[in-house]
Parts: sequence; structure tokens; C-alpha cells
Amino acid sequence: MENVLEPLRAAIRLLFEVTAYPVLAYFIVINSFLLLLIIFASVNFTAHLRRQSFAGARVTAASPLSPGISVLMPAYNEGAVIATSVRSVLDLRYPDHEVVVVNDGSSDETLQTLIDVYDLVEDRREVSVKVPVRGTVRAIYRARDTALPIVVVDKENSGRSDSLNMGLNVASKDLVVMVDADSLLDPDSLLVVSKPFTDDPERVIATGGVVRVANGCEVVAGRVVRVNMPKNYFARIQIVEYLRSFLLGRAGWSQLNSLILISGAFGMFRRDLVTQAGGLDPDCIGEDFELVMRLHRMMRRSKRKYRVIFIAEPVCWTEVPSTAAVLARQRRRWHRGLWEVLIKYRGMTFNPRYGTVGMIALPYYWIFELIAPAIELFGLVIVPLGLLLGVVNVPYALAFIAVAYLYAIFVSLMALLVEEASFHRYNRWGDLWVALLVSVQENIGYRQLTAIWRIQGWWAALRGKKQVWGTMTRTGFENASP
Amino acid sequence: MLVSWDVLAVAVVVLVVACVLALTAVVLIKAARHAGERRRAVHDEAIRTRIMMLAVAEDEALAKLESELASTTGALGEHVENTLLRMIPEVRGDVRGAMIRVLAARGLLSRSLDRIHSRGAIQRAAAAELLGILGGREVIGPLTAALQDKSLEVRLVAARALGVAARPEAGGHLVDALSLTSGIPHSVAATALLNLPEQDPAVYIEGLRDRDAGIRYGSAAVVGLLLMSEAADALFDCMVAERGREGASDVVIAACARSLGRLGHKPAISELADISCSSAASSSVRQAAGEALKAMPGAEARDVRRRVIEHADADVRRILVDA
Repeated sequence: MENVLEPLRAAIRLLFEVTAYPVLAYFIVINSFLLLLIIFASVNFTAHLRRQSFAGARVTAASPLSPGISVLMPAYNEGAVIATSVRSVLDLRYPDHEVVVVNDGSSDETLQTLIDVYDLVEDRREVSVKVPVRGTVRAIYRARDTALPIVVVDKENSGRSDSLNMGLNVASKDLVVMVDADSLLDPDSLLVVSKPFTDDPERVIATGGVVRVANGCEVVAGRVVRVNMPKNYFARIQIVEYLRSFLLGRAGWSQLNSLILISGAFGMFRRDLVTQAGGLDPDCIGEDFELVMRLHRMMRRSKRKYRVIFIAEPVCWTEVPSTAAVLARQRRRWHRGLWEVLIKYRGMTFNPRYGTVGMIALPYYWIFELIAPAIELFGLVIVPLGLLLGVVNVPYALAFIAVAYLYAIFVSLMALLVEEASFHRYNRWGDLWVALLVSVQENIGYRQLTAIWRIQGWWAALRGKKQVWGTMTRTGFENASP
Repeated sequence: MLVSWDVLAVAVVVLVVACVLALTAVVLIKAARHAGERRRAVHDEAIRTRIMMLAVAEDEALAKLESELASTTGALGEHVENTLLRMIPEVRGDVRGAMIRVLAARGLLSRSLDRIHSRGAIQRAAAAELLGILGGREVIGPLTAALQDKSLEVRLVAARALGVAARPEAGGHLVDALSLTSGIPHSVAATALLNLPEQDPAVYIEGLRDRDAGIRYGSAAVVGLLLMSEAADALFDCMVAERGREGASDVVIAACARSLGRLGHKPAISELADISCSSAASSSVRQAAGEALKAMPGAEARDVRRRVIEHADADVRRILVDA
């Protein structure tokens, strides 16, 4: 037995010697990069907050010259929430917006609810096809009361991207916002996210709103009226994760003018450019990411000056997975989408023609987003094995792990610090203690689990396994009122 | 080669210290914010009644109240200013006037007039915003000067502020601000123009003939939204001339078309019909012409719409079928 173990020990020892420095360096560089993004994000937030007193939202809200916005809302079996969602979008403070709901072949009462609640009648006018769509349209409905700006497209099931493409064909305004039917929007969300288009109409082509965790929040008539920490373990951890990676990470990228990912839950685009780019790719899992990349490529190739901006002000709230099974599905899908998009746009990576997008953002996503779970998993296997075989000194291994994870905790604390100094949506002391606790907790178990799920997603993509969306099991909001 | 113990130990110590510092900073910021909220609540309690009384007090009582609020000093005085600034956009008429008088008496007007010459662009923009809220004849000069500021942000806020101040003498300056060279978004300058009282159509007729496409676009949009029928012929001429111009601007043609529709200017019907079916025009221009045709009253327009439906593209047909 000893004869078998000795070569294994030697191999593990060698592996440790070869990889120790690179792995530690990798952890330090990835967290330093995040820290750098947080610093850029704080510059972005400071600039945003200093301009709050003269943002001019009130004037824009009352101006008949503000650019019109079509809110595209794909809906699949959303019968329970669709009426409230549409109402909350119709009630948003904006002078000129319409709602385009695309019923993606729902088998529940989604369509009938809309017909009943909004008194819809069939609209037999033709729709010009600017972006090709796969799903056959069954009917288009409009409100009998023409003052109610709602269009409902009923079509056969063909997926979210195809539904959004259908929405693009029906949309009539200059800007389009893509939102999920279960997204909860702040009353001023359209004003906030469209502001860059008003201030710089020539160059701004897309803006992304920050998406926050709605679990645990008090919701009244489709609006978040009180922000609370959820009680669920997974949801709590995702709050810190969203703060660090989405809010601060994306704000940092925006500051560097290299934002390549806008959340599908709330993104605003110039309709003409999205149409020109061909709409969303219905075959891509990360369709939102893919669209933004395509816009970047189109604009850079045509040498047009443009900006993609991230708005840090909380505008959209969404329910995040609160069970391991649903979270696993989501992370597998995200990682698979990331792989597909990075492969599709590999020609842009390290290509100076694409500026900071090609030289900084894409390499970052390759090295620190795509590969990160593989490195993490490598550590997960090799360290316990080394301990088991007595190759690794236990205090040494603990110190090694402590450096990697303490830095991660420090980055999370910096994210909490920036949030506290800027938007401070979690007002109570109890919320802070919970956030601090989960900043530590996420490193024990959660990180490793997500790494495994992400690797599974990547593996499924490499095997060419057909992606199944699965169902997002919604638990509803703890304090929801109609 | 393994990482040495010394390196690991130093790294752990540095990171622990950094974490403790970050944690302390988070706690201190939260504590300071909560203390600030409590202080604001106390200040609110102290001034709320007096500020609400501004809405109902009259004559001597109002003058006394204004004087009291104007002479409040220190942190409470600052709170009075912030509260009034938050409330002003929500109120109109005499109450708004009383609030502005209190702010002016507290020296906010003179401070803002000074700050609009600050070195920092953010201070200048904030001052421009305040001058717009405070309004009055004396703010127009500094605000129109700010339309030439080196910072686009200041120029943009100044244009918006001129609209909020709503003085007729700002009209010409705002029309000039529509110019492409100003960098100010057309929608911002044109929105400001919509707020001005006693508008002179001659300014816009001249604007419609301007060499600058931005000015032509803004003038066309404002003429329609203000239903300035005196400028309808000039608007029509502008649209026809734009179509024949080398490097014609789509947004100008579309704005003219929409405004002609709003004004119901019947002599434009056949030209609009031609645009709505023209393959040379862009889709947005064709749709704008279609919308204008849809808005046109009378039998002639109805007949033209019927004819256009047969020849136009799907987007225009969608618009016209409604009519």
C-alpha cells in the first residue's frame, strides 16, 4: 500500500510546488481586479450622487420631447403576476411609454388575464418584420381604450429571445427596455435609465439598470416599499454577491467604458441599433450578453463613437433563487452562456481594434470569470487530497487558504462600504450584521458549490448538451400585498 | 517552490488589519448616517409647522414667518434651506413665491450667483440649477452666460434652468442653444423653450430658416407643440426645403411633419403623403409623415390616407389604418 501511495505523495507534492504561487497569485489578482473595479465604481457613484441635485428628472418627466420608450415584457405562464406587472409598468413616471407584452405560448391564464383586466380587443393590422422571428403570431391585441398604451402579442412558444424579437417588431418608440414579467420596477426607473440617452443622444446606445434582490422585501401593488434582508440563506448570500459583482463590478466597467454585460431583467437600448444588429440571438443562452457584445462589435467596426452605461441607482428588483436546485440551474445556465458568448466573440479578445472591450473586459471575463471555477475546483480537490496523504502541513494549508479567502472577504467588505456610503438601501443595523456575516459565510460552502455548478454548465456546453431553461420556482415575496 | 511561511504570515496579518479597518469604516458610516437622520428628524420637528404655515399665512403674519425662517441660523437654517428646496418643485403660486423669498432672504440667490463662477463644474451646475428654481430677472444674465460654459454639463443644466425660470427674455438664447455646436441635447433646450411665456413666433420662423439643423429641428418641434399657427407656412417651407437640401436631416423633416400634423396645416397634405410613400425617405421620416397625415382633419386628408394605405409600407399602414 505504501508503495502505491508514495509516488502519489510525490506527485501531489510536486503539484503543490508548481501551482502554489500561480494559484495564490491568481486569487490575489482576481480579487485585486475586483477591488479596482470597486474603486472605479466608487468614482462612478460619487459622480452620480454629486449630480443628484441637478439631474433634471422632473423636467424630463414632464417633457413631450423626451424619447419614447417601449417596455418589452416576454411572459411565459405568468398568469399570477402579469396583471400587476403590467399595471406597475403602465404607472411608471414617464411622459411617453408603451408596454408590449409578448405571451410566449403560455399554457396558463396569462393571456386571458390580460384580455380581461385591460379590456383588450384584437388588432388585425399587419406588423412589419424588422427582426426575423420563429414563433408564429396567433393574434395581436390592443386596449379598447386607446389612451392605454398596451400591446399584447400572443404567439406560439419559441423562447424568451424570440419573444423579445417579436416585441421589437411591434415596438413603436425610439428606445426599448427589456424587462422580465416578474421584475419589480421603481416608479422613476424609466426616467433614471433613460437619462443618459437624453443627455447624450448621439453616443449612448444602451444603458443597464442595477438589479437588486427582492426576496424578503415588502411589496405593495408591484412596488418594493420596504427593503428587508431575506431570511433564506441562499438569498442572503446573493445580496452580497449581487452588490459585489453586479452593482459594483458593472459600475466599474461602465466607468472604464467597457461594460459588456447588461442584465436581461432591466436593460434599455436604442431600438434602431438593436434592429440593425438583428435583435437577440434565439440560439444563445446568454442572449443579453450576446446582444451587448454584438452592439459593441457593430459600433467598433463602423468606427462610431458610442457609450454603454450602467446606472447604479436601484431601479429594478427581482426574486433570486432560494433553493440549491434552482440556484444550480441558474448558475449552470449563466456559465454556459458566458462560454458561448466568449467563444463566439473570441476574435475580439486581445484585439486592439475593439479598444478596452477587447483588451481589458474580454480577457478579464476569460481569465477571471470563465476559468475561476476550474481553479477553485482544482483547489477543492487537491488540498483535501494533500491533507489526506500527509503531504501538506495543516497550519500551512490553513494559512494559504486564509490569505485567499481573507482577501475575498475584504473585497466583500469594501463592496458593503461603498453601498453604505452611497445608496444604503439596507438601513437597519441588523441588516448590516447579516450582510457582514454572509460575507464570511459565502466562502464556506457557497463559493465551492457555485464553482461546481459553473463547471457543470461549462461541461454541458462543451458536450453540446441541449439547454433546458427549467422553471424558476418562485416563493413569492414575504410581505406582498396586492 | 512553495510560498514561504513569512510571506503567508505577513499577508494574513495585512488582510486581517484591512478587514478590520473596512469593517470599522462600514460601522462608522452607518452610525454617522443614523445620527444624521435623527438630527434631521429633530430639525424637521422644529420647523415643520412654520414651513406649513407659509401656505396659509397672510399679510403681516406671512411677513413675520418669512423673516423668522430667513433669520434661522446654523444647522437648523441649513435644514430650512434644504427642506424648502425639496418642496419648491411640488408647489405653485403664492406659496412657491413665499418659499423663494425666504431662500433669497437667506442669501441663497447671491451665493448661487457667486457659485456660478466657481472653478468646479459640479458647483457651477448646481448653482445654475438653484438659479433656475429661484427665478427672477436677475438670474437670466448669468444663466444665459452659462449656456457658453466650457463644461457641457453646466451648459445643459443652464438650459434646463432657463426653462424652469420661465422668463420670456431667455427665448432667443435658448433658440441659439439648439445649435448643433452648443452640444446641448435638442430635447433639453426645446423643452426649456416650451416653458417660456409670451413666445414670439418670429423667433421660430427665423429659426426654421437657420443654417443650423439643430435650430431648425428645435424650432420645428416647439412650433408644433405650442400650436403656433402663425409659423405653419414657414414650417411647411422648412420641410420642403429640407427634403431638397444636400445632406438633409431626417430629424428636421420628421419634426416638421409631426408639427404640421399637430397644427392640422392642410396645404401640407400632399407633401406629407408623398413623404410617407417615398422610398428615398427613412423609415422614421415616413412614419412621422404618416402620423401627421393621421392627425389631419377633413375629407381631403381622409381621401389621401386611403390612397397612401395602398402604397405605403407596413409601418405607415399600421399608423393610418387607425385613422
